[in-house]
Amino acid sequence: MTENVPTPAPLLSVKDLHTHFPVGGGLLTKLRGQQQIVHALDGVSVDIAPRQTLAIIGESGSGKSTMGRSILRLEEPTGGSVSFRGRDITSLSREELRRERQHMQMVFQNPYSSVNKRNRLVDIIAEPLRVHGVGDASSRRQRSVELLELVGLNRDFLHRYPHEVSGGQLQRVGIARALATNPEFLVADEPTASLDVSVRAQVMNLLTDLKSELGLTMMFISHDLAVVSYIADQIAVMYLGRIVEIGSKQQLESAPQHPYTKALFAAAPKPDPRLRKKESAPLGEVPNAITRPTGCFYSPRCPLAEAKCFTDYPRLETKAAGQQVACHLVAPSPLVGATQLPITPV
Amino acid sequence: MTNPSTAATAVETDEVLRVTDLRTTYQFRGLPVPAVKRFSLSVKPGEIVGLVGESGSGKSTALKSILGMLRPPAQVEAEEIILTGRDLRSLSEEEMRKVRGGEMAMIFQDPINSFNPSWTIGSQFRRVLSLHRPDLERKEYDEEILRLLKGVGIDGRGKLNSYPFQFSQGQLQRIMIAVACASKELKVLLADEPTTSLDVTIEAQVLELLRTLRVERNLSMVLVTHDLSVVAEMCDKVVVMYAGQVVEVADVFNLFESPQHPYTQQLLQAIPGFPHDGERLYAMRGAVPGLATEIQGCWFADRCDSKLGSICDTTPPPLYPVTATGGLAACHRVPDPAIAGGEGKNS
Repeated sequence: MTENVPTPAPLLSVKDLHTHFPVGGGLLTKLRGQQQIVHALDGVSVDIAPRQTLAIIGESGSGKSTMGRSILRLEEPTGGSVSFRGRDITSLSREELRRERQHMQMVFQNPYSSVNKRNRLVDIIAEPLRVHGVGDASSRRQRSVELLELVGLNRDFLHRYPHEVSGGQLQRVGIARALATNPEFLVADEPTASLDVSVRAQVMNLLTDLKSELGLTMMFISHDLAVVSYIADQIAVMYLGRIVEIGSKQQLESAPQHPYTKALFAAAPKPDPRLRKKESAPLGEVPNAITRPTGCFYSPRCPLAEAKCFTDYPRLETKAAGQQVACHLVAPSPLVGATQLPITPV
Repeated sequence: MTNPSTAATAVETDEVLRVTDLRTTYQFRGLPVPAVKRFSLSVKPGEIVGLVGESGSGKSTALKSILGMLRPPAQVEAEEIILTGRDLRSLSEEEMRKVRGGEMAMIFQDPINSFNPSWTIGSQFRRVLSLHRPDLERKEYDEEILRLLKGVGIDGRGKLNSYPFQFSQGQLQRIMIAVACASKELKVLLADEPTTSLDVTIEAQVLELLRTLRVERNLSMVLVTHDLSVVAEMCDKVVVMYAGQVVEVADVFNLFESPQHPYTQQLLQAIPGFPHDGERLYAMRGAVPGLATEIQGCWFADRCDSKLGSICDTTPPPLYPVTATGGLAACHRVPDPAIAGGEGKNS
């Protein structure tokens, strides 16, 4: 279907990204080489085309936030590469990285904890400009007013402090700050999770408007499927530091393949009492990221798991055009199967 | 009655909990701030009542007021707070302590912060048993704890000496529910956003657990949440709050099919559907007015899409009856069916 349309070069290309954190233990455990490792991000590869929004979903501990932070090098990845606008940013020096960050910004989950409470909103919004040495004080102020208006707040807000505005307004300020340097790429980490329903809709609309007006490319991290469904072009499902399924929004919503994706979608409560769940809730919890299960990480919770699932981790394979799934039990669709069959040598 | 679970208990008719005209006022810099201005609630045995509203609408304050958890300078006034026939306002502090965790218990949003981090789960659990289970000998405590934990799906063997941080959020929420259910006298469980901090899969498990408890022990619940999907999933009846006042009371099916108050209508409109059809989200304008604001008429008038006119700015709407089964809505549109909002009003 998409054969004839040339795919644009991805704006962001993540290859086999690993971020591991050492945990616990004193000097002795380190000397003995018994240091425990959390595999927060364990070999993730994704491409995001310009102007596209990739949503990352998964439970807490699945590595969603680590992924966003590692891409911006807020966490230092332990392996793999991130190329942004064709340039590998994992090897950049601090100074080069700082310059590159103008083009890639982040919106955080909790607006109150991601701003300096002693700064006025004008200083909060203008801070990236100051850091990157853009303009002088008066032009930065002018830009702050523009940005406030862009996110739907008027200039009266300039001199307020964070505690004088509501959570929804402060999240708009967080978005304005992220947009200050005219970035091409935005990582939004659960930007609406701490907001009320009514305000959440305002912020979601703002983000989609900005996406089309400014041509933003986004990575949108969320556990709220309805919100993801509203904003995403592509969806990646993460589980214990790896992607278990990735595809277009339509594919995942209409035909989710991985048992975990299906469980996630089924578990989300629906706003209609006539659709009350009759089947039982999905099993168990996300296993420990230190001592991960052997075989497929989802196998202990998977209702369909077979012998093979407990021994071999399934590779992420293309099962339909543009839809990749890491599951032994998902057969490639016949359409793709004809060309793709040889990739399963077992 | 539309719901089979309430039909079974309707024969007993009596309410387990009835609160009438509750008002709670906080003090801020010497000035009174009314957090709950108009609140009444009635809960039948085995019924799950949802309490919905945005942050700052007074949901949690109302629960804490009922349970007598607020201390001066906060002031709680009410015409009555009746739990199984006794007015809680007439009880001494000592008697109230027996009620809390006895006949009525509360579970909170954030399980990790609801336990003392430096005590083991076992020791915190034993303390609750020593207060609320006079029927048990001290040496029987651990056995009972294991039994209660098993009831919430946790194998507690070997874990009683573990500290809260050694459990996951989902496990801690289950443990908190087990602690809340320790008393044999328990009639009403107040749940303040019990699944808000949990993942969808764990949320589904905890909601299922609460439903099971309701059936097994005929527990009544008041479920505070801002998530209308959780309400749809769990509740029999819903109380909608806005700026410290009850604005609508309805059977859950009526609420979703024909919401009467414009606030409820607009709230339901703002929920993004899944999968999303690509339409722009409806967004409510403005924000909840500050608690200390002086408002003459309807508190929702500024954000209302179906405002009638000057009456909304000058006269506060009382709670009008909407259905014969106890549906109420505080909106000037209600008394005149010709202009009433929402279609297909069933009475």
